Amino acid sequence: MIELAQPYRLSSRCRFRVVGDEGVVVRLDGAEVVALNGIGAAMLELMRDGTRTLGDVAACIVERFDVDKLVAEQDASEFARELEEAGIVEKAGSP
Amino acid sequence: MSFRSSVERAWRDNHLLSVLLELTYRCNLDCAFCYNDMALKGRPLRLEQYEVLLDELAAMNVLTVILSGGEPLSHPQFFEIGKMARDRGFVLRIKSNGHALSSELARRVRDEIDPFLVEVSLHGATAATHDRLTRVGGSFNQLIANIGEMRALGLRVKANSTLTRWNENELQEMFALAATLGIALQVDPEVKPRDNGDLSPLSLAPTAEGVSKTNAFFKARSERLEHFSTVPSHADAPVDSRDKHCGAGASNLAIDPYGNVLPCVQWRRPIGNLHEASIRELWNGSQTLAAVRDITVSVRNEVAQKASVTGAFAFCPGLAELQTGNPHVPGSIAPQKAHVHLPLLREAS
Amino acid sequence: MTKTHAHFIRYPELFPGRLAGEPCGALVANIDFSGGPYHVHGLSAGQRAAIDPAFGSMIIDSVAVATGACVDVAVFRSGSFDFLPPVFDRGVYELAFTYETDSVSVSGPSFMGRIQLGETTRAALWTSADTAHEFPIVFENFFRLLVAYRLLEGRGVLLHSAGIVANGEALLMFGPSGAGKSTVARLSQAAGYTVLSDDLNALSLDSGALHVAQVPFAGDLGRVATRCVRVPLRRIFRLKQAKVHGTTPLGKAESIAMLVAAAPFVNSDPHRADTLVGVIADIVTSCRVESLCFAKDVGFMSLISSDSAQGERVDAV
Repeated sequence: MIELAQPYRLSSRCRFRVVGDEGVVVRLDGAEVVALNGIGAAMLELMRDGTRTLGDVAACIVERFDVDKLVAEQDASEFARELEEAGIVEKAGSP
Repeated sequence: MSFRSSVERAWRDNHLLSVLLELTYRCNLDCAFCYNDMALKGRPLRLEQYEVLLDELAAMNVLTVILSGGEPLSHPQFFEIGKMARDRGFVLRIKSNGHALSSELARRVRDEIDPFLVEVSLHGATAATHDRLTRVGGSFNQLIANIGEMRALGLRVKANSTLTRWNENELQEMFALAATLGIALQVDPEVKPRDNGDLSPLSLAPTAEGVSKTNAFFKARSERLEHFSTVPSHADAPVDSRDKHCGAGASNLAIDPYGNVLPCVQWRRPIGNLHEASIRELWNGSQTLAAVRDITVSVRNEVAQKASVTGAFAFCPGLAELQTGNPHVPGSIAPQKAHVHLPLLREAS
Repeated sequence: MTKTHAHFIRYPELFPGRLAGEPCGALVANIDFSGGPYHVHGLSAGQRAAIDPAFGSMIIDSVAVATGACVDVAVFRSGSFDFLPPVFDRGVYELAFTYETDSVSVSGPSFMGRIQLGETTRAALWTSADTAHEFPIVFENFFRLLVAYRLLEGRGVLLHSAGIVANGEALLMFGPSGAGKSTVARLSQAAGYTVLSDDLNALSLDSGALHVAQVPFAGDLGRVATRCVRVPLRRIFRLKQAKVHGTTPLGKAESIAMLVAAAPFVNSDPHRADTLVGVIADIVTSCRVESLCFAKDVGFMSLISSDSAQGERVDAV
């Protein structure tokens, strides 16, 4: 599992917008578009500027979507790993 | 959940996704069929106004900003505006004729603006045809060289072309040229009237024979190529909305150099002016915009009834309004086969 | 060395290919001058204010814009993005030109211009100049060129020359740099004659007769024109400094060649060369051209302002 103290930010090679209650990520290099569901979009919006750790992101998700803290932290870690593999987010420096 | 469904919902729910900025009507070429109304008067938007506009568009979660013109690079503050748009996280597209995008300018575009896409204009497969339309000698050779340079710099380039009676017999060679250059080519089969209603550009419209030859060519090609699809040129992605005919005024807007806000680059019914109201005020409160959205819904129903006999998917209410004064009544341009291109965005699996 | 647009313009590939752009402001100046009237629009407040002192009463209230009976001159904004750092200085600039069959383009410090020639000649000026210091220089550089082309279209010519009025008629004196145009003008002025310009004069065909109009451009004698003085042309002289005053007739071919050399801007345009030679041939046919030898005193005026016979001599005073 990824360290919860780690902040992530949107890659400079990607563009991201919330459209309605979903998310759209455009990867400039692959000319690919990735759609995110509501929770995914909310998490990436929280990560976007690299000021929040994964723990912060999970805490916000707990508040907003009324999910269990452990589940939220697990989801945030898993999601961050997937996005990082896809080149959508990258590790940000220490806050 | 997919990008396609997001776009559909944007159309339905009036979520602004894409804004086209006509930065200037100045141009370094002089294309014979240009649709710009160069006699339009007004006060051009200032840099500070573009900054406010882009701030608001970012806050409204607009995805795409298209810098167009005229030749957008000839706006005195093109790079400042491009940088501001980049900093606000838009997917940026630059619609340039490509004539000036050589070494230093191309590098500056990449380094300072980092666009998602540079769209250039190709008007023929030979210098004779291309230069005849641009009315600038040497513009074809310059464009081909510039495309090579941009590709070498890592810029994503796509070519747009309008079918005319001058290039209708070169289509195959144009696609071959695009393939050699390693870029996508999109062909728009309609020559547009000028934005002020002047029909003189239509004298360059393709011949009936040219149109049917072109349709046959596209049909054969779409059978060979898996990714070859037909979509309206003004949408950002293939959409077959069940709600509105198009995204004009619903998911996209255009803004001219004088701050006039329009439902679409082809539908120039003024919604308001940025000298007098903010984009958010206009988006949420404009009666004209509400009327335009209603029209796209009713046009959708009308077209659905006729589609099987006319193949009229490419019907454009904006062009109809320009020509007949009525967005429901097509003008002298017969509805033609849809625009054809290689899709720009793949849905990630 | 001949200048190219690259001397003035950062990205010459962006040079306007058509008369389009956004105005500097909403103000207008209608200029009544040979080859016009000129309907100049798109001016900022600073630009408009800079035009008045130069054109004075040549500024008229309105022109028939709708009927096209005027030359449309659009002033479009531009920025430091377009231009290499300018050096503003009084005096004559060497500008850069490109000549095409239906247009001529020009660039100079802080400006680009384009004149679209044809049934209705129109022009546009793109500039970043906005001040009382910069704009008059930019506008004059551009306007001179436009006037040269408009005069040619009307079968006239802008001529590097000294223009002097004697007995209500114009005498034009031309010659290469240093031939004595300024000297002649100064001597004539001191002797009480009206000097139109010691640098450029507009020769135009009005109602079938050649007239000389005073140009609103600065010469060595300063900026003199504030209203459009227009007088019939009497004679043309090619200047040559000598110990004694005297005139000798010039052959037609020689006259044409020398006058072509004195017709700025249009004489470098390969697409207009035949027209220019034709126009000057007509001028030479209807007005005699003589060689004028003159010493540095005003005695020459007695030779040229009267109907004195050709080949005459007078002693220097």
